[in-house]
This record gives sequence, structure tokens and C-alpha cells, in this order.
Amino acid sequence: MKSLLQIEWMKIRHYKTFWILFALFIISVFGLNMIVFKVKQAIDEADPLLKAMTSGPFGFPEVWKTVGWLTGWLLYFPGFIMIFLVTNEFTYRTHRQNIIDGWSRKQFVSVKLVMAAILAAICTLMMVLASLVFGFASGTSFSVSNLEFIGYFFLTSYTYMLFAFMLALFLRRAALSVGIFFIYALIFDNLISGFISGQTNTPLGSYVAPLQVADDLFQIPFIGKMLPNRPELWILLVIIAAWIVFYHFISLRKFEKQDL
Amino acid sequence: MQWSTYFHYMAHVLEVNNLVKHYGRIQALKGVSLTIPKGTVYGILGPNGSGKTTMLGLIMNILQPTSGSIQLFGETPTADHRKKIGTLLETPNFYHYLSAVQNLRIAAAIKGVSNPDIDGVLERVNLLQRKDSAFQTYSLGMKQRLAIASCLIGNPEVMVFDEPTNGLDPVGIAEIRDLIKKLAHEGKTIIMASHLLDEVEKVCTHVAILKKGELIASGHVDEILAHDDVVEVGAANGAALMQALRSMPLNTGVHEAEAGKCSIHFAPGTADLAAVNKYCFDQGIVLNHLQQKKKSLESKFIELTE
Repeated sequence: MKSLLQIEWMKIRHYKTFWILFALFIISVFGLNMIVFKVKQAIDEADPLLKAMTSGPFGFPEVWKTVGWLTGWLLYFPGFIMIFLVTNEFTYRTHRQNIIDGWSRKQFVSVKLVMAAILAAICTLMMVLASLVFGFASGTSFSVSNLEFIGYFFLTSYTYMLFAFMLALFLRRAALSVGIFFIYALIFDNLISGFISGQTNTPLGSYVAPLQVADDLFQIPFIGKMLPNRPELWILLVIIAAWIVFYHFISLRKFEKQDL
Repeated sequence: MQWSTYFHYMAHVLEVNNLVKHYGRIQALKGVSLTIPKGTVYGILGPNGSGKTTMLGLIMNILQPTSGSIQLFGETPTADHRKKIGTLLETPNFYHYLSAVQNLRIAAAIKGVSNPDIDGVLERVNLLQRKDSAFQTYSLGMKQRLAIASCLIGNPEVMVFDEPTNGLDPVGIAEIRDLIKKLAHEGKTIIMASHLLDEVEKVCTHVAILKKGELIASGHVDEILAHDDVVEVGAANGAALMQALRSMPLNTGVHEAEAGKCSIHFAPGTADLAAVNKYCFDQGIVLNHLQQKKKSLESKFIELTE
């Protein structure tokens, strides 16, 4: 796997689009959290009473949940990167050449799946750094509680990357994949989830929509505890694991069986 | 392993058995069987859409066969076998934003070649001076040269070239054909698909002819592509002439040409104008036209594949 990853690195090292999107993502992580952090500060100064009521979303240990939820909105960027890494191969027909030159089909898919995990790990690292920065910036001291949200964030990121990977593998075209990924993740996934939960008056919607199940590891800060139909954490984790297994299985199967 | 089995394995680079490929309702290959011996320059000749690239794609595992079997080096093909074959299939496939050198490094890494002689292979295809330019700035001919350079990485014993002179100018075509001949001289086994009869004839030792997914002939180039001698004759009564010629000994075919004329074929080097004239005269036919024709390669090719 190490040599496969070295080859992937040779592919992206000089790929400008990758680095531009990557830089924008990192800036956005800190930028978005900074905006909300400042707005919160301004509200607190205007109304000390409200400050006393709310628990301080940017202080430890709440900061993990807050930054995780906010950063979750930016996972489109690494998702786009994931899509381009796959659709490039189809555009340049290098997915064929890699096989012709001596990769097995399984190796081709496996190394991309590992790339998805690496991208998810980088996203998680950014979330951790941002949480530390804003946690300390809000004047609180570090505590070890809520650290499980780092793991949850990795699962959310990995689910997004695998979903993007699947789209790219099946659609093969960059613009189409990016368009569908963005619209689906932003609108339709929430729509499906909300509709089902609303109709059944249960958290069922959280469980059936492929991205919502990961999103719901993080409840909306400030008002999360007041939301009706909160899904059960353990059910979410089981369903996410099932999706991850499914994505691996179906992508390997697809690429191993089809004409390239 | 018995010595005879071992010898068999070594003797054949590729064996294809009853290979069938359907794309939906289209039958691209209809049961092709072929054996390619070591050390040959094997041409796969056929018009566009005859199944040449489909066959190579199946061999290289980028297409899945409908049925049939393939053996590389006497074994069921794996990714490791492909590492030992330099292959250019259909189009040059490279990362557009990377340079020639960066692209070849990737190919070498996939093939597991640890110290690739990148400059050396670029030199062989005359691309050394542009080695650091991005692939997307290359002309069609340069892309084709790079693809051939990529095949040379690691100095493989077997190479597969699909339309190797595609997109090259006349000088480039001559250079690449020379290169292929040199490689053959070095003892490499070369499998080359082409729709150019003339190219196959100039470069290959063996040829297989594909037509609409079927193998219609295979063997030594000299046997398959032997040029018949063609004699064109004319007489006042065309029909009688034709009938008379059909019964002439040693002919390999009689075809009607333009009005009152027909052509009679003989095995290479055996046509005798005087004998034709005498034969016709003996049959009571006086010729008003008698000429030995050089048969064009195109008409030969059309004849083979029609």
C-alpha cells in the first residue's frame, strides 16, 4: 500500500486544482469558525443575561461539538477534491493505463479508498486545530471531556468522502459529479430526512438519509437539546458503519466487474 | 515441471482461446483463437471496427470477456504479467498537467521499475528536448511518441502497440517503424495492431487478419500477404474469354474487369504472358489486350477483408 500511495502522491503533487481547493478549505475552516465566534462575542457583549444562560459554545468542552458542527458545512471542499481525484483518471483515461501498466483493478480502487480516509483524517486534524484555537481563545481551560467528537467528526468526513467517491466512480464526469454531490448534500439529503422524520414524528429520517446520519452525530449548537426526535447515538454509529462497508463493497465490485 | 511443458510455456507469449466479447447486442469478437510465439513481430490487421483494440483490451484486462480464455507467458494473466509488457492501447493516456518525465515516473513506479532510464527512452523516440513540458502542450505526434517511450520503460521483452504510427507525420512514421524493427532485432516480441497493410507488411513477421470480429487468416506474412501475379486480358467476346480463362491450369482466380476485359491471377512469380496468349489462341480466342498488372496493397486488403 505504501508504494501505491507514493504513486498517488506523484499524481497530486503537481496538481494545482488540488492545492487551491485544499488551501481554500483550510482557510475556510478557520474563517467560518472565526465569523461565528465573533458574532457570538458581539451578542454576549450586547446581552450579558443571554451569555449567562447559554453554556458558551466555544469554551471547552462544548467547543468540540460547535466547531465540529460548523466545519461539517465545509466538507464539500474535500468532497470536490475527492471527486476530481477520481474523475481525472476517467478524463485522462489513466484508469485504463494504470491497469495496463500493471496495477490490479482492486489496487486502483483500494488506494483511492485510502485516499478518502487520508482526506477525512486531514479534515479531522483541521477540526481539532480549530477547536483548540477557539477553545483557548474563549478563555477556557482544556478538559478531556467530549473528545469522542473528534472520532465522530472523522466518521462524518469519511462518510462524505466515500459518498463523493461513489458518485465520481459511477458518473465518471467531474462537472456532473460535483453538481449532484453539492445539490444532494446541501438540499436533498436534508429534505428526505426532514420529510420522513416529520411524517413519522420519529428520528427515522436521520437514519435513512446517507449523509444526514453522519451529520446528526453533531446536533445544532445553541438549540440542539431542544430539537424533537433526537436520534439514538448508537443507532447512528451502527448505520454509519454499515454505509462505510457498503461503499467499500460496491465500489470494489463496480470497478472489478465493468469494462474500463 | 517437465522440460517439454516448460519449453511450451517459453515458446508462447500469448495464447487466446475462443475469445468472445459482446457489447450489448453488438458482437465485437466472435470466438477468436490465436497463438503468438516468442520473438515474433505479430501484426493484427483489420479495418476499423474489426475488433483489434477489443482483443488487446481483453488481453490487458481493461475489458471483461463474454467467454473464452487468455494465457500470458503460459499462465492465467495477472497484474504482474502486465508489468512485464509495454503497452500502448488505443490512445496515449497520461496526466495532462504533468510533464513527460513526471508521467513516465508514474508508469515506471506502477511497473515496479526501480531505476528507470527515463532520458534513455525519451531519447529513443526523439522527445528528450521536450521532456519537461506538460503533456497538454504536446502535439498528437508527440503524445504518440511519449506513449511509445512509456512502453520501453524497464526494457520489457514483450510490447503491444495499437496503431503505433497514429497521428505521426511521414518522418515520424518512418522513425517509429525503424524503432520497432530495431526492437524486433533485439529479440523482443512485438504485437502490433494496425489497419495499414503496408505497415504490417514492412514491419511484421507474422500476421492475423481480423474482420468483423472473426479471425479470417493467420500465419507468416509471406504466406498470408503473398501478392498474386495478375494478368489483365481483353478480347472481343468478353464472356467467352472469361469462360476460357477459368479452365486455364494453375490460375488462382478469374475476375471480371471493365467491359470485355478480365483479370486472371497466378501464384507469385508464376505468371507467363506468352502462355496466357497461347492458351487463349488455342481456345479460339484472339486477345486484343494483354498486360501484367501490379496489384495495389489496398485492393489486396479489401479483397482479404471483404
